[in-house]
Amino acid sequence: MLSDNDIIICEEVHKWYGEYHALRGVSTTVKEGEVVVIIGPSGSGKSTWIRTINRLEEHQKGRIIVDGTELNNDLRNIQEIRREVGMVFQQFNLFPHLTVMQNITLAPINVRKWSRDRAEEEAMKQLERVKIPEQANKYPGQLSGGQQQRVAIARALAMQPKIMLFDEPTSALDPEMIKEVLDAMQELAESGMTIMAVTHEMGFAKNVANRVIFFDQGNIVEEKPPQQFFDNPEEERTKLFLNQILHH
Amino acid sequence: MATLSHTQDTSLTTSNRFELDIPEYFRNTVFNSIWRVVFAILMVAANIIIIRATFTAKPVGLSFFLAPNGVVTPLGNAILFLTNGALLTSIIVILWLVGLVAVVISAGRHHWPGPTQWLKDSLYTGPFGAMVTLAGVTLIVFAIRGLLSWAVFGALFSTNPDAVKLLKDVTPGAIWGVIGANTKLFSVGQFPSEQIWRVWASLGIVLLLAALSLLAWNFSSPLKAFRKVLVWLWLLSLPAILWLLYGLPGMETVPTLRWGGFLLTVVLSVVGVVVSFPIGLMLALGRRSEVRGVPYLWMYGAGLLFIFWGVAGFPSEPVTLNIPVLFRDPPIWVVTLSPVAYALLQAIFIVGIFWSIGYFLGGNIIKAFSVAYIEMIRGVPLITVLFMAQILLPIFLPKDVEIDNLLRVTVGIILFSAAYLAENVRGGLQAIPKGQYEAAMAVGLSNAQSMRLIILPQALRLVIPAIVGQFISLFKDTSLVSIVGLLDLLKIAQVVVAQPDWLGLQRETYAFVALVYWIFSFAMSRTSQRLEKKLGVGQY
Repeated sequence: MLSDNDIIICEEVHKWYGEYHALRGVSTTVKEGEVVVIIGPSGSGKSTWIRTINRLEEHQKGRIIVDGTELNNDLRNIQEIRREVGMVFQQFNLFPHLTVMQNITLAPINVRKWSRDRAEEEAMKQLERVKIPEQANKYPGQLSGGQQQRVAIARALAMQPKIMLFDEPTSALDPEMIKEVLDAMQELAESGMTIMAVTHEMGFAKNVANRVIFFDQGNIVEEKPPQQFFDNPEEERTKLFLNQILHH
Repeated sequence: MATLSHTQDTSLTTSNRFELDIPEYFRNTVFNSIWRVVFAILMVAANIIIIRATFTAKPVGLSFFLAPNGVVTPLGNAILFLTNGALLTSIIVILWLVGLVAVVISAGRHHWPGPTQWLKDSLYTGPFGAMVTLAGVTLIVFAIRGLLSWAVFGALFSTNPDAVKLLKDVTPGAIWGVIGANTKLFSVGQFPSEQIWRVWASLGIVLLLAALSLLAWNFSSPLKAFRKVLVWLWLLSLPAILWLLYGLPGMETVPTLRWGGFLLTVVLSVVGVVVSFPIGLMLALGRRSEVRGVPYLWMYGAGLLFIFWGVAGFPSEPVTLNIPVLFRDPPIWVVTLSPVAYALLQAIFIVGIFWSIGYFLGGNIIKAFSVAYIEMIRGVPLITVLFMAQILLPIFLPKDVEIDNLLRVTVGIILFSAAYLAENVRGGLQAIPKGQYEAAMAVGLSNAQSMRLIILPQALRLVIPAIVGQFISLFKDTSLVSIVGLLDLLKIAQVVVAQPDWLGLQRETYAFVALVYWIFSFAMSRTSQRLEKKLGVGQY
């Protein structure tokens, strides 16, 4: 079942917050270059799951293997995986005391040990990719939400990761700014990047994803290519959820 | 537009209390509260007393304008006349009446020319307000007059003890000679006169660095690379200056016992601040640490410390312990321990204490130590810590090891300041959103890197006001070292007022010392405000 180009492998992943059982045996694999969109009701554990993949949350049972390295308590493994996995957050989480340029070059300089010149060159490339090269010397507080989120994407990309995780990247944005962020994500998907994205943007799921995962009560309920998922959902819970979000 | 301004006008005139309906106006303003009546009566009484007193008081003498033969000069006479209490009071009352009349007339004509509107709104809001204005202005003018005639016009500035002795009784104001004649004591204490150049050299180093810093931070482009060097130079300058003051190899040493005055105050507070900063930072991080167990680095550190302690505190011969034991005759168990065993026992005892505290805090030894330390120090006053450093520390040390008095006190101040600093920094750390830690981790930064590059720069900026506040209070608290026998600025003041030539001039001396403390505290406070503004520009 496992093949060479499986880049993320989750086997029976469990997580508890005290008594609360947040993840209940999640198992799936993601292939290199695949775009996976995760949808589901709030509180279903989808954010928790995506955050276990770069160890922002610790799983207590099961195995997670990212790019051939298993996530365990070994700090070196965790650091190694985080270098290869970029993450974009709902609240952008830019560093407010640094300029856009410094935000983006920080990790390449300090983690990848690149020279400043090389890091800045790469940063400009990524800023052009997300179409805001003119904002390089501003502080995050001077940008709009959409611009900030695009800087966050550029910051993650500057590390040249193999995988990008998106944790509800458009949920904190004003409606008119959602498109610019989705455009950047779509361009990224078309470039062949492996993407896992938690989102409520059904249009993005339909048009860009290779696979849609419906997540509920701490586990995967159904996973299918978008066409089948939206047209012929099998599970009752999936139908109910799609009914609620698509027809209002 | 016209209607609008008209309505505004009427509303102003109806609220104006100088309409001629007197009963109404008393009802509304004066008698609506018994306390207002009481206060108004007191104000009027105070005014009467001040006016009476100033009319009968003797004029203030002006030794500032005394000729050498003790006769008042014509200039002196002119100032004497102008500051005469009766004249001043009359001027105040006349000005007050003029203002009052202007406001009343304006109210009657419903027309407010010039500053009358302002006068009505701020000084003559009613009879009550007018009364407070009179009392307030009188008090302020007479306070200033009293201060000026004591500190300047009536003061004697000669530093010659013989001249002062001659004029002391006819001088109505301050005798500032006590400050002028003792500038050396106030600034450096008993630092040897022929070595004073070292203090000047130190001052020169500081001023040079300050000037370079101003240049490097204000003209950013060419000197930006120089900033890092400057930070290091600042850090190096402190030990260098202390060493220079004490005496570099080949120079005559100046024992710390002879350091005093403002120099000592500055040395204590600057060393206290600078050294306690990293310690406080570590304690703050330690208190928030979530590491279970003891990290190896700390284990090695503690091991080295105990080895060092073992070597330093090793008893030279076997130690005999008398342990009380029940059901034994005699009820004492005599144990003789070899020096090694004794030192080991001590080490095990101390490790055991931390270990057991750590056990109760979920095995987090670092947090246990930080919490215990911070709460212990914050639970006692500084003076207690100073006494401990003075009296208790020598007990714990081997007999022949003697630590410099100033060093002991400095260590006490550092330990004290570190605990408070830790709590201030912790406040800043807690204000940083969780997302910042997560973003730092997600881009692959190590814990130490995210602290240094992301969390601390933001957290420290948040707590600048608190930290500067703490440093200001530390600067003033160093005056407590006078109690344990160091001659800081305050203690020097006590020494000075006991000099035979300047006996009993407490007022001048302490006023001067207070002024010095105030100037430096105020300067620090202003600097911190500027720093905050500068660091906060364009961010967030």
